[in-house]
Amino acid sequence: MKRFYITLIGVLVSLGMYADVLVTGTVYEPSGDTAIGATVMEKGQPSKGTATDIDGNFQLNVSSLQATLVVSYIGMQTQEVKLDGLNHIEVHLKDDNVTLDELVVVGYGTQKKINATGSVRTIDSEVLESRPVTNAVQGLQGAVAGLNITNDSGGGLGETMNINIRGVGSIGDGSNSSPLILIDGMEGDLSTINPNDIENISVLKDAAAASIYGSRAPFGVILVTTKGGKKGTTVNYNGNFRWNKPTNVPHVPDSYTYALMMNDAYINTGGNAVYGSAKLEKMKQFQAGILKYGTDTSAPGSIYDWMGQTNTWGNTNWYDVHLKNTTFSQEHNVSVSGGGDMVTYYFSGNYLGQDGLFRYADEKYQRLALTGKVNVTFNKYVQFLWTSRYIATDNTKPSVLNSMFFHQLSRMAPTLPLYTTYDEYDPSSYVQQLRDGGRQDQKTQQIYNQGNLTITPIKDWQIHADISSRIEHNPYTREFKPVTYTMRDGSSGFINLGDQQNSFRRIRDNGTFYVDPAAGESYYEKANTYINYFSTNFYTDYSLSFGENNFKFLLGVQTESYSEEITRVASWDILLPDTPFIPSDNGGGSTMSSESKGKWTSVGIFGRINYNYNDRYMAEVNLRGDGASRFPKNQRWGVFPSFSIGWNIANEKFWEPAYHVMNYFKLRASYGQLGNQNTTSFYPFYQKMYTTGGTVILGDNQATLLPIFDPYSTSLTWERIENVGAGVDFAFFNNRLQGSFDWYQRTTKDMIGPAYALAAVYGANAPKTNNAELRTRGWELELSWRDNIGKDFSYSISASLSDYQTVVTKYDSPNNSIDGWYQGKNYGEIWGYSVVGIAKSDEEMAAWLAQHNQDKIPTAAQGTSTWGGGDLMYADLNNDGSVDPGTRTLDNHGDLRVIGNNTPRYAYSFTLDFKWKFIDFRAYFQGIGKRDYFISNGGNIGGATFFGFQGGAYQNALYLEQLDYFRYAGAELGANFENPYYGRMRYDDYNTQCSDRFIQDASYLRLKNLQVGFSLPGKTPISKYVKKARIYFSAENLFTVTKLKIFDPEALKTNDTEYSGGAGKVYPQYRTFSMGLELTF
Amino acid sequence: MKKIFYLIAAVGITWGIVSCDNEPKNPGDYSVKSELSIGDVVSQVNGQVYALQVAKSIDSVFTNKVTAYDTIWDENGNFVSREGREVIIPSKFTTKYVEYEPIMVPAEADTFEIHVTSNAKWFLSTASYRGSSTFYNINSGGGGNGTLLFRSAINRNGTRKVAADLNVYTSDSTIYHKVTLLQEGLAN
Repeated sequence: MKRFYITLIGVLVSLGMYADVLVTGTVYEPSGDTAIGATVMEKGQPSKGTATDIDGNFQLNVSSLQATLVVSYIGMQTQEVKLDGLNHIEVHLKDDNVTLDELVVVGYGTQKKINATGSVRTIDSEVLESRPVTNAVQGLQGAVAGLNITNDSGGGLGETMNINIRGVGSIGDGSNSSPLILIDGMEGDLSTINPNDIENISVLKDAAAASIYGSRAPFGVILVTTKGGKKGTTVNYNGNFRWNKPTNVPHVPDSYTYALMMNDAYINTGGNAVYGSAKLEKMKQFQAGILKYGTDTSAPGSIYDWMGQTNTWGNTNWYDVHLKNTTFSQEHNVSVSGGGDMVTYYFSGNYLGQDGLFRYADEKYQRLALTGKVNVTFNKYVQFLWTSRYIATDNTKPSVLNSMFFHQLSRMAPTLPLYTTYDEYDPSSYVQQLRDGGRQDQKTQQIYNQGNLTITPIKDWQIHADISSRIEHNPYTREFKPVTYTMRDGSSGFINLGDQQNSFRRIRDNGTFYVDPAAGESYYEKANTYINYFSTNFYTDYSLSFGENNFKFLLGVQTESYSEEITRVASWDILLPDTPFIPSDNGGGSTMSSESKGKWTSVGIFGRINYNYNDRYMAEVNLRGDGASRFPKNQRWGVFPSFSIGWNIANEKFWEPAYHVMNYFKLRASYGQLGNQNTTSFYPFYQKMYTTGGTVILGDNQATLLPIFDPYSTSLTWERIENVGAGVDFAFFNNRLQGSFDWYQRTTKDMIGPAYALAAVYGANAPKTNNAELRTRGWELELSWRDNIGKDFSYSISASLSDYQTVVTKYDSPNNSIDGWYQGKNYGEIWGYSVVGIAKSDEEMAAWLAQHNQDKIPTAAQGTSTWGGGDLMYADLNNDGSVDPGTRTLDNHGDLRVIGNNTPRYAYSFTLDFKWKFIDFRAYFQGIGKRDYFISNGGNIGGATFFGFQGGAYQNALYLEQLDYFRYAGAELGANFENPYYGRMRYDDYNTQCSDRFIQDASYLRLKNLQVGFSLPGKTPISKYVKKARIYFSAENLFTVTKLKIFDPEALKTNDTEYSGGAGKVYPQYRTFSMGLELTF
Repeated sequence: MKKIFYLIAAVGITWGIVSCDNEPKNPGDYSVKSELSIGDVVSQVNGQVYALQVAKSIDSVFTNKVTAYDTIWDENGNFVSREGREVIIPSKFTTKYVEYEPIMVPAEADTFEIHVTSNAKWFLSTASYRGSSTFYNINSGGGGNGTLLFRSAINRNGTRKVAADLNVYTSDSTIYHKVTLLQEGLAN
């Protein structure tokens, strides 16, 4: 019994030892206010935690009164408080200046954000994490105000996006305004780098920030810093599987509806119905399954050809035929990082495999990226970092999957059948051409090598020697193979693979081949591009402080050398099309070849002085002198200065009463000049002569002509980009709310433009000279808010908004044509007519025409075309009794006026993040607030994909959206005369003029990314093996809100050089769903 | 486990919602019936008005004959030649047919107009059936309200009158107006 009592007492004592003890307390902010919602946890016991109430008080059961409490609060330093036997404590938090001590990456170094005087924005890799994007550029869209990443060209595999910082800086007449992209200090390709390797990205927007890079960076810099090795071994796997679904696929009518629309167009243009009632009846029978085939062998026409669209009665949605519902892709990334005091390393491998959307195309895009970084710290004086990066991409697809295919796809009539009566694919279906017509394969292989030696002779003085090299080899092959089909009479024939120009061959000025093989002709083309880039940077920096004065000096020299060589050779009538090779040619003429070479070098000497006084007053001066091989010797050198100042008012004495509300408030201003050596030609001042085939026969041979060269300007020199800007950075409520605002003006002076036209008798174009000027004004706003609610829920909201407008302030236009550039022209402006309305009857139109003759509008009139009911009534703005375009010049623009501007304006994005326990959520929206767009094929007449027809019956693309055209009562497609969008359908250009009625609102809001992740909780049985485990679901382009008709706002045109098809004739955009896994060991 | 299930369900529902693609609808209104009425015949030369009096107003059904020049497969897979075969397609709707008392115009050449009130596309044809043709329509149709124009040449047939039918009908053939034109001979 005695033993029992002793045991009982022992158990009770033990229980008492492990019983929870209640602790109470109050948490205060530095201002003395109580902290509401601060998290209080017992250290090492994640389950024991609470949050302070509205009075800052908390109650918490802890293991013992010897426990340590961890108190955290947004904007404050996390504090650990040992109880030391107390059961009531007061915690006074301190400001967390981490945000203000945050570093931003600038040219040749880093800077405390608080001291930066230029417009710089550094973002970490979070914006790219778990995103099913195919490249880093896609992931950056909308992430930084003023960094404009646009895509009008659809979602083809390997498609790149357009990047500019703060808008267009040059109008492209001899130079380009792309930003400089530096990966670990070396110029590189952001669209091929492994996104998982990126540590952070810094965008240098203004001259003050970018001027250290001089003439290589006149329009801003994107600095990409990649991950490096850290002490302690870490292995990371990040992979995901993706399913892509095409979006904004055109809605094609059934064949019967299509035929009625066609009939309307023909009749309204003054012709007869193209589909008779018997044909319409057969379409109905085919749709009802009564007729097996949509064509037969007895149609009039060539016995070789199956019937064209107007003689067939099938019912085919060609987008359904060719597009898959879903396609698959995957990405896997493995990295190993580790090391000790002397050596750290980082190695990574990344694979991306993406299938295309087209069913018969067997497209594939693959990327393999390998990275290795080794950092050796020899001693406290010498450090050496070696980086090697190998990137290979392979983009393979059928040769006919080019812009001509997308052009044809939009035009293929639903009446065309998929199968012939021989149960073969109809030759017009493009199925055989895609499957068997030969393939093209574009590979890229990039090898980056970088060595960075850093010597620190004494404290605060560093000497850097960087050597970088990039070698690229980009092989390309393209083949056209003969494709056979069964002709109507049962014999075999060849399908034409191109646009039926039959054996057309031409070498473009840039050396590429434009070919269109004849039916049955085989063709094989091979090109090799070699690029060799080499740069050196030698620079030194020294920091000096005395008292409250802090200086930093930087001095350096940079050299760059770039050379490229492209050889291209092709042959036709290939002997063995399945194993093609270029045959030896002794001059017989079965081959074609071209070679282009180019080289440029530059050298820059740069210096920078930073000064700040007690983190209150700061100034920066940059000076860079550049020499560029692209200019004549006497114009080769330029000197470009920049200055910037800043004042952090929040650090002033007088600000102290407001400090607890607004703890960061910096004003800054900058001015700078930069040169632009990025001419589109490597040798803009050399005369160039091109040979061309002539129509003259000399002897028995066709003569080769050597036209007179274009004259060149010996005074061609630097474009000078002048930047003026001002901004403010701020933080409220202990950094919970942070933001910045920038205003800027960028003037591109001495911009390269054409000189006055030479007399026609000279026979060549006028040379380009530095005679134009462009001005861009804009602003940027960024805001973010972060906080937590309770101990388990944290959230943040961030948003950005920016805008710019560009105007040509000087341009030598000989006639001030409104279709070209002229002084005062706003970049992107659209000229067009004003539409009063649609005439409801012939009578109304006749009355209108009696007052306002519309006969001078260029309408591509066909046959007996006349104006009538259902047509547009254009406004006679100058009241001269005639509606006309004048001479399309500023002085005489008739009834045209500026009706819109296609510059994307008010680019915005906002991100919502929250985390609750082990669940994280992120929604990322991106959009354009204002953009006008007239959908055309580049001219002043609407495109067929928007209006149904363009410039004749031949170019037609009919979609369901176009059914909203004017129709009288009794029309077979129903009456639509009360409030139609389109005028009556016709195949001439009467109702498709560029006008305010058809200016599209191309603004949009897109849920760019939505992701939900689940992380492994901190304490689990596998935690000792796995540091981090997270599974996530992520979706890209989930939905888009836009008023734009028919098209995706990011798939409006094509940039393919083979055939410029026009609006909407591009690879579809797609929506991506993905599931991924992140593991860190 | 239940939470994960809810989340997967939510992801699935989201997938379903965003996958929906709204196909645009044809705004055409099939319930709007064609309307067509014509005014009196007015001379452009002297402004004389020839009032039209309805002689007959009935509802009728048309049949449409088409000639097939093609070949189809029958259900047994054999070619069936429809070369020259006549296919009769009866109209599925009733046509309002209005016939007017003939109007007599002088033998001199003139140009006449008739105001048309309509919400439809309409066509105009003239067909002479007695004597040499002297009536010609100037326009062949129109849309909505408009003016129908035709002219007469001099009738040099002595005392003999010539006649023609002037037919005005909607594009869907649901309304048909027939005006019989008579012209006096020059010798009268």
